[in-house]
Amino acid sequence: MIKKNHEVKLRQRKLFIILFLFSVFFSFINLFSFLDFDFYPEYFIALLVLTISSNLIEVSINKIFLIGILVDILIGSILGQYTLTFLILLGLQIFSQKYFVLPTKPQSMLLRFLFVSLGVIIVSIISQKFSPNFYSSMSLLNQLIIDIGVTFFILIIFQIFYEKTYGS
Amino acid sequence: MALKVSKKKLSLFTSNFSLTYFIFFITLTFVLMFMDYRYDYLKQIRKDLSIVTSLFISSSNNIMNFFENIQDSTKSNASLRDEIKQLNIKIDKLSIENQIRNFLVAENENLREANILSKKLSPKKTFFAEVTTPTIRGNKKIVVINKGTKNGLREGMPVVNKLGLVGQIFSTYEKTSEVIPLLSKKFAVNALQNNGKNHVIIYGNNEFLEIPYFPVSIQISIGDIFVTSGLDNVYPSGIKIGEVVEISPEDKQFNKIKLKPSTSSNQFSLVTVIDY
Repeated sequence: MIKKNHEVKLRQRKLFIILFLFSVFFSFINLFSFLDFDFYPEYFIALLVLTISSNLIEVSINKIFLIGILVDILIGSILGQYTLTFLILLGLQIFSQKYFVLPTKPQSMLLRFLFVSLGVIIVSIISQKFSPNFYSSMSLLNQLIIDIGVTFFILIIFQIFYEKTYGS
Repeated sequence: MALKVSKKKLSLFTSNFSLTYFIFFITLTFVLMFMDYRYDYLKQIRKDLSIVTSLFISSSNNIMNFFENIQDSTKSNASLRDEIKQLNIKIDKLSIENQIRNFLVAENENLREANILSKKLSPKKTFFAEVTTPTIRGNKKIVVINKGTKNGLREGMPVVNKLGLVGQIFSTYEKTSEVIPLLSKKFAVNALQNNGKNHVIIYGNNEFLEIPYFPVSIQISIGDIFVTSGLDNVYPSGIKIGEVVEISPEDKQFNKIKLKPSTSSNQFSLVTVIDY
């Protein structure tokens, strides 16, 4: 495994904090208000999938748990919603490493897409159950498809920033 | 010989990941979910941390409001631009209507004057005609009117308008007639000074009307007006011909008088032909 030097680690930590704050701000903003429907992409799932899969910061179960609790307090419909999702994603990532020690780029992209899809599905199911005000102007399936697509798109944008932390 | 694989390497997760820890945290999460569902802790936590969370929420709202304001302002800008465009179109329409109205007012005034003129000249027969093209033909200024022999016009008939004498019909056709204007060199008319004393003959000179030999002994001043005398039996008496603008001595006995005609072919469109 390629070891990151100290400077890159610092840059990646900064990037994580910036992306976290960005996710906090944008999670409260309905970017699709001009289309007259409420839609909030899962920025935190995109960020955590990137963090876990590319080791943006040194991840451990404790850290993921704490981040999950923080996100739950900020935007969760029940305490543990995002914590559970993030922990499952971490477990799956660790499990997948058993089979993809050095995955190719398409493989890693596919894995990330699957993680994003699973994360969005878990969060949506918990929201359906516990969020009393959960309301969607479209069917759940359509909502899920759009949510997964947009969240994956956000993940790609985050990844571009992540790749830039290595410099030229 | 088969390699001996350690138990650690065969485990489901990698070595630096504790499955026990993982299961513990998953369980803890479920406990948290259950407790929150049962006792609604999240609400209380959010209340306690409202200072922090409200900071994020208000910042997000500010960003959103900023974009909404921009959107609103662009929308209102666009609608105002559209309104301005509509108003400009309306202004153009009103301007055209105003021009038509002004034309109708002028036309109405002309008709009124022509009517007064025809009453003044009654019981003589009068014909109203419109000037179609004032033009120059062979050094002569010709005015073409839209009435001809078909309407009863004859050569030699005087043509007048509300301002005064316009000219004389020079040639007639079936539907049009040509008028020699006052300024034509071929034009001559018997005139009377407006004090009613002095008879003269006024000639056209392309640019001005002139009286070539006006006795020095007779008093005349700039601004004096000459009208038709009616002695020639061609023009009825009392029609304004022109105004004195220059008096220059021709010799010891005579002055040369220049007159500005009362009418100009560029100024009128409606004329009256008199059957005198």
